[in-house]
Amino acid sequence: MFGEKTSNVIIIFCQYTSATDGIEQVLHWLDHLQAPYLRVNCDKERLSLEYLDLANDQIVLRHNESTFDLADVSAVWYWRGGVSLAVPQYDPSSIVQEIFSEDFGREAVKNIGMEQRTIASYVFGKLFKKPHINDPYRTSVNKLQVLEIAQEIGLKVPKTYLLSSSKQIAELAGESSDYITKAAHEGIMTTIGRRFYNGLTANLADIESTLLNEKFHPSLVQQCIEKQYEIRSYCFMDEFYSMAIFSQNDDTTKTDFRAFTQDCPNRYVPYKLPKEIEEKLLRLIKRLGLNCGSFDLIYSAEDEYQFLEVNPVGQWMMTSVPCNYYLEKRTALWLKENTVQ
Amino acid sequence: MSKYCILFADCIPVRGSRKSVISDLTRSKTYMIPNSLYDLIIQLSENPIDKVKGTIPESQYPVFEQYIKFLEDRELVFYTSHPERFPALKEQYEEPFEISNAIVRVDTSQGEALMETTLEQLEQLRCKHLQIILEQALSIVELEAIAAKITDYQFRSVELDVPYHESFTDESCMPILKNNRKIQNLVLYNAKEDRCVTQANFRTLEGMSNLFYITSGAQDLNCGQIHRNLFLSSMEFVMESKLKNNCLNRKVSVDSQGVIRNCPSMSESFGNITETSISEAIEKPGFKKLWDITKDKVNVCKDCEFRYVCTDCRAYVEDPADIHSKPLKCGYDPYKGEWSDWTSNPLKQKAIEFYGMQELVQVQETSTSQ
Ligand code: SF4
Repeated sequence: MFGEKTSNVIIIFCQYTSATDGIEQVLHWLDHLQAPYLRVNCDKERLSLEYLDLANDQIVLRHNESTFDLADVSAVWYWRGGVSLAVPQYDPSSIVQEIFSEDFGREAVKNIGMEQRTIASYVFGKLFKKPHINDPYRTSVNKLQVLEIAQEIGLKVPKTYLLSSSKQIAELAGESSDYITKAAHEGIMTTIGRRFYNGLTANLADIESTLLNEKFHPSLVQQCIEKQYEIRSYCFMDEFYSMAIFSQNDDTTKTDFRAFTQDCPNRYVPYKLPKEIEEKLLRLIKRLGLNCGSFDLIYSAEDEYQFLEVNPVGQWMMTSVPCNYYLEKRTALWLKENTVQ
Repeated sequence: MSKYCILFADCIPVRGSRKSVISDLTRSKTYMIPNSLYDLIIQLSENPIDKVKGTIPESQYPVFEQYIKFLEDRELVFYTSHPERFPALKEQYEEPFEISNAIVRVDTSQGEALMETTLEQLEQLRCKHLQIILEQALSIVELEAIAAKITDYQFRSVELDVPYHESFTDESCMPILKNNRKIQNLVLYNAKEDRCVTQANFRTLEGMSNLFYITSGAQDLNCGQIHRNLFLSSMEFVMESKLKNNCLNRKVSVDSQGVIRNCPSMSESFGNITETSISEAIEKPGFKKLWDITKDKVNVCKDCEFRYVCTDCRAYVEDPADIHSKPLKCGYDPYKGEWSDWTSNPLKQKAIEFYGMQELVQVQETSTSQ
């Protein structure tokens, strides 16, 4: 595709997972807009470095059979998966077996790995200075730190604790409000055998107190906010695409809307956050060094916006489809023109 | 603070000449309502509920309460003090494709070369939905081979229509659906009964797989009824109906002789696939001439409450001389609000809820312009 000199190449890093349907849509739009792109499937492909000339600021990269000049890359979109440069595989015993010991071979392989990482961080650093969506080096944020910054900026956040003993839990239970517990990092999501496990949010009152050890691993406990509705807001290049989620009518979804029922699906409707909240969320996203992100908020029974969390490489299809936002087209247009339309 | 009672944005109210409907896009349901309830919904979207109630004579309160209860019970409305934070769905329908659905007739006795050419071209155009009508009887083994061949192409969903044969049973046909997940509907036409077996276990990208036995013949398959009906009351269908012709937009048909048309029931040909490619044919003048005829531009339909959930037809119309004439196969008169013939109505009846409601008599007008 890039045999000759090609300019304005869009690089897309992605994974083949169930969530890639949105990716396909964006790629269809890029085809339709006749914008050339190169898709790196991070599950099984790597870019590799062909040549670098520091003085002339030239970097030539290879993807399968084609090579391209970094200067010709017009935009980059990172969407999940590991990003690194291809490394030739060495067998430690073969490298230097005739001269040195196998231990030295192992050291040498480790050393080559470090070389490679130095090169990769330089090259990808340059690549992600181009107009880009998401950043492979900022795919996760520290939830606790985010809550702290949100609070500083003036967003309301639910009371949050890390508790490590049943005594502390009992003290909290003495208070009037309800509490929930969830992962401080990310909920576990895995398939073992034929079962799919998805770590959701649980109500503290539902956890049998006799099951709790006296001391346990510090666990994130948060005040349960009684909600009128939840808000999912996707921020793309300073624009907000928000959605209200009504799930209150059905008890099964009260704590976490992802556990929805089929018969009476929740309502997902377009939403417009007040300017003041959007401005605060924008400040938060800038402080975290992100340019896109998906926010979770609650509109409480007390008519307050409570900030819950931000997801840096946020799911946007789940907002785009029910709200008819056409984010897949916007994303493609942005990659082509680098402007929001 | 004053409370508003407003419809969720995914519930679309449509007013007809005598009656109205609310289409619940998320739950794929259409409710028939009196026009006075439609008018009330519009007033409620612009005024606090107390203010609206204040304009209604006390004698009408029971009807008003009945209306509100109807909306609440079906979870069509919610209450808020900030209606400005709940914008309507943007009316937009776009796809990065020239063709999104195709109806291809295949005469297997002539070999499969024509079918292969057609499918290759459709794949290149990135057509999403394919309906294939096999005209010749074939054995289970032959059917399996064709199903496997079709599955190799990049279509999102496929409906495969085959003449019924006694050897076609649930047991012999289900494995075909199981092994070819792209085939959403396997339709056995000229069958002895009308029956549908749904396989919840094997999902296609578009939903569950179905095995249909239908008594009607190959000619009636032209409208892709089974496939299209699945889209009724969906966001995609309603948005397309508002902006495009919901049947002919991005559609192409290739018959068993290779003739390319917009729709198999239309006479106008745009070339033969042996000489003209599909992408050339669709760019010929006139191929897309009906694509912009929305229901709002069709006589009678434009006054009908079903106009955004009802599949249009331009091939069979009441007055063939008038391009904006009403579809022939419709037994509904929106000016009377009555069906003359249920069997010929193009709507999926099951999805419509009828609920006897009195009309609300409003003496005063609510002033909405302030
Ligand atoms: S075809 Fe009949 S039911 Fe459909 S919109 Fe027109 S008048 Fe209404």
